[in-house]
Amino acid sequence: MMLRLALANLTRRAARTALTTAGVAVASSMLLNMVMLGSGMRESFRGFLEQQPYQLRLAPRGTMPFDSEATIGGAGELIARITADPDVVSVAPVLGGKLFVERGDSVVAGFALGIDPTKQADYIIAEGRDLVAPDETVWNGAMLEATGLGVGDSVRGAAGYDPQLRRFTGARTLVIVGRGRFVMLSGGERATAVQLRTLQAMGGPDRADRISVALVAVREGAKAEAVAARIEASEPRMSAISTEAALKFVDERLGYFRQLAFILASVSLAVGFLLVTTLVTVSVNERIGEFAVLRAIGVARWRIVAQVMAEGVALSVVGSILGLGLGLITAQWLNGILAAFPGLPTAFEFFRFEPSAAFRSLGMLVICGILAGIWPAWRAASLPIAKTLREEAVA
Amino acid sequence: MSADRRLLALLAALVLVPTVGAAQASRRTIAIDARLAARAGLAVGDRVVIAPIAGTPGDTVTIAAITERSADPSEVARSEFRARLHLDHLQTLTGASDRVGRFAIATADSPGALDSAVAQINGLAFGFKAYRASEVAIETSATFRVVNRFHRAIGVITIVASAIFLLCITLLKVDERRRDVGALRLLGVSRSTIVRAVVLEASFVSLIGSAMGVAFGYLASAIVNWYYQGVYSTPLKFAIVTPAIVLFATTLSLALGVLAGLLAAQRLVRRPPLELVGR
Amino acid sequence: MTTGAGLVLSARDVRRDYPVVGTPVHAVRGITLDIATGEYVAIVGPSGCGKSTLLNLLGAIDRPTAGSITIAGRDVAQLSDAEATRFRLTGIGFVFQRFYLMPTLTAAENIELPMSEAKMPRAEREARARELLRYVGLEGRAGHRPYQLSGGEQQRVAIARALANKPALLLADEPTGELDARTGAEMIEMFARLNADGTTLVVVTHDEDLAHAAKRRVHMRDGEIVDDSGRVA
Repeated sequence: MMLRLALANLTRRAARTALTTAGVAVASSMLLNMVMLGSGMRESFRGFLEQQPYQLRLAPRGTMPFDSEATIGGAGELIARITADPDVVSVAPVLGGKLFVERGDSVVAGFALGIDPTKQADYIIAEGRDLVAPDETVWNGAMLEATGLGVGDSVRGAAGYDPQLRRFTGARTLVIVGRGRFVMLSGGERATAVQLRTLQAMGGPDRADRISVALVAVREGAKAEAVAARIEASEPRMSAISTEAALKFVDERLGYFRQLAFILASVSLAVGFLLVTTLVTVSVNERIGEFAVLRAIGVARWRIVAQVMAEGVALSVVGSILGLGLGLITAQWLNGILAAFPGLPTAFEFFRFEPSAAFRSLGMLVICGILAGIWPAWRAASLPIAKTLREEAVA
Repeated sequence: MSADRRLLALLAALVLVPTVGAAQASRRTIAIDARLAARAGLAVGDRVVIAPIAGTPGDTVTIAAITERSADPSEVARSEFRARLHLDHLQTLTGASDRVGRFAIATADSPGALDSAVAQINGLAFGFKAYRASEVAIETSATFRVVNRFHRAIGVITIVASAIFLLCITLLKVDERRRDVGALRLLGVSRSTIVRAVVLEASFVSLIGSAMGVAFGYLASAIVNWYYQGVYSTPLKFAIVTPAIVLFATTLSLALGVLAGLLAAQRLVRRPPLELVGR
Repeated sequence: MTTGAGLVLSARDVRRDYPVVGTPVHAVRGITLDIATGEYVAIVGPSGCGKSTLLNLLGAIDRPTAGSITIAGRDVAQLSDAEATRFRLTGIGFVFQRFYLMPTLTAAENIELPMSEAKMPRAEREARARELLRYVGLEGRAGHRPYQLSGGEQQRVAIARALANKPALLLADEPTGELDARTGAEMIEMFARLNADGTTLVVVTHDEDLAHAAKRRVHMRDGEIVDDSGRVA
């Protein structure tokens, strides 16, 4: 019966209840967005890293993979030494560089990856096939579009280009055998892949037996951090970056968004709390006569408290559920804005929906709804009955 | 190896080995950034060896200066260390001979001088393009443009949310006084007087709220700048409250407050006075 | 303490003072009053004489400053808040001048409210609500909300609500105060019928007709009983 009273009171002033619910929905959607932002970056990057079959990434000491143009020499021997570790299953070497293609009066440049096609994890073939022969290449959509070429075309590509003298170095005729989606690169970035030896050869003596990064697959059951420590100890020129270390690096770089997420989440919670408190308080103030009568006819204090708090909780729950839908829509919008970050891999999401995040934010708002109702509820239940009845009669 | 790549290799693989009392130390000097100095424990006057590739022979030089980061957005969050050498020294060290990566050009301070210089250089230089400093700034601040758009989106959401909150609370508070309004109407006070009174009150609240909001905004931006300048070791200002922003925010909040008051008041005066007093 | 034989209410030297800056207000000054089972008592007096305050004390809505009030064997002046609440639910029925029905509940639901609070099973309380609506002549209005009922009809629903948990005593504070003369007359008839059916009634009223309809009139002035006439022996 008291629950019925609570719901009836909410529907009695429909416009007011609707507006408050809308306000709670907006606060809830903002809260959900911020909870998604706070964990989304890390978790989408984690998911992305864990999809790859490699647990460690080796880069020149003090750098992150492809953070600089530094390379490591003696790659062949290095790989052999690392592979000899009993906990290492395989090592995939990668060399980064550029590929220049002359098209009429202009030159199109793209990022070039020299890979071992039997071990690569940098791209997924979307059309055509992967590399087999040394003079074959896989390009992404952006590179194909920029050059006006397609799968099956031959192209003269060079590893170096002097714009002043318009001179290409390390040029070679390549056949485009496939179109790939390069998972580590942003959508607009032009990218190509050739075999490692091909890119090394195109780079001349400066690039012989050199790599930029080595990806290491660790035996199942072995601790990646321990393997990383061993590699760093035996190879002073290298940094071994585990998934956790990479996540930590991303966390630091994107720390601003986590902080912003925390601040805005707190503000959303505070506003949601304020709204529910205000509505419940005003509603109680209007009904103090009714509450006094309920107490006069023998309704227990705790029931009145429960009724008022039920109103607060109902507002929070309905608002939160609506906010869930609204939050998912705004998250898509905000994600689209942040996806334009220069150099951001296409697989990366800032706002990632996790059911646990939704429950957390819903739960926080419901708790707020409960707390928001406590003071007005207690006030309603503690009114001096006779005095209130008299004042209400006069009013 | 191109001059650019050698330079970058130098920066990435700078080997700094303090040497004391080296018999034939070079008289050349370099400047290093403050972060590098702190990390390697170096100070002005220290002698170090620099080389383009780790493990190869290099030059012994003296640290003549320690530089701070500039207020450049592209520098923020970058973790590499920086060293500055005399041009001829770097060219010799890296074998780049008479090559440079770029020129920086100061033009005469007269109208049209900049445009004229750009046109001339682009017409003459083969394989080079002249960029205005503003174009470079735009290009290097691409990250911040994205962040800016993100902030605007958050701003839009906040404004929409605030408008709903404001309307909701104004409606509640005005509705709370319906008996008073009913009594006034029964006494003969006109609808328009009631509406004017409510709107006036809402305007005062908006103005006071705006003033408090502006003060809070200044304080918050000072805290944000202090914090992030410390985190990223940069003099860059991350948040600035300009007169235009203050004017926009105040105007918007006043407009929203007046609108909320108007809507709430109209809702109230539409109802018969007897209904308002509860009869 | 128990109420004497045949007595449902026994008040002894009851006082109620309100602390006000300067001189305290003595709303009720040492009232002693016995009411027997089945009596119909009207408490009358000028405005401000303390009759409503006395009724609130008798109904355990307010607590006396001094004295004892025993109803159905319990000293309500000594009850804790929770006990007094429970007592009001099951021991007393209260009818207010302004009806005070819940505007969001139907007539039937308003009557069921105290029974629901007393944990009566749903079927039983619905049946009793129908029975009470029949008794007060409103069986066709069970689903109507208060705003759909006239003043007299609302007051009848309020009476039915007061009777829901079969209280030992029914207290009414100016029950005809908000009603027109014709409806007031109907209400007077209703109270007479209630009393004839065995309900012990105490009404506070300015209404002369209602006062005369009662079998006993207690006159108050300045917080004291000045006359207690028409007492049934």
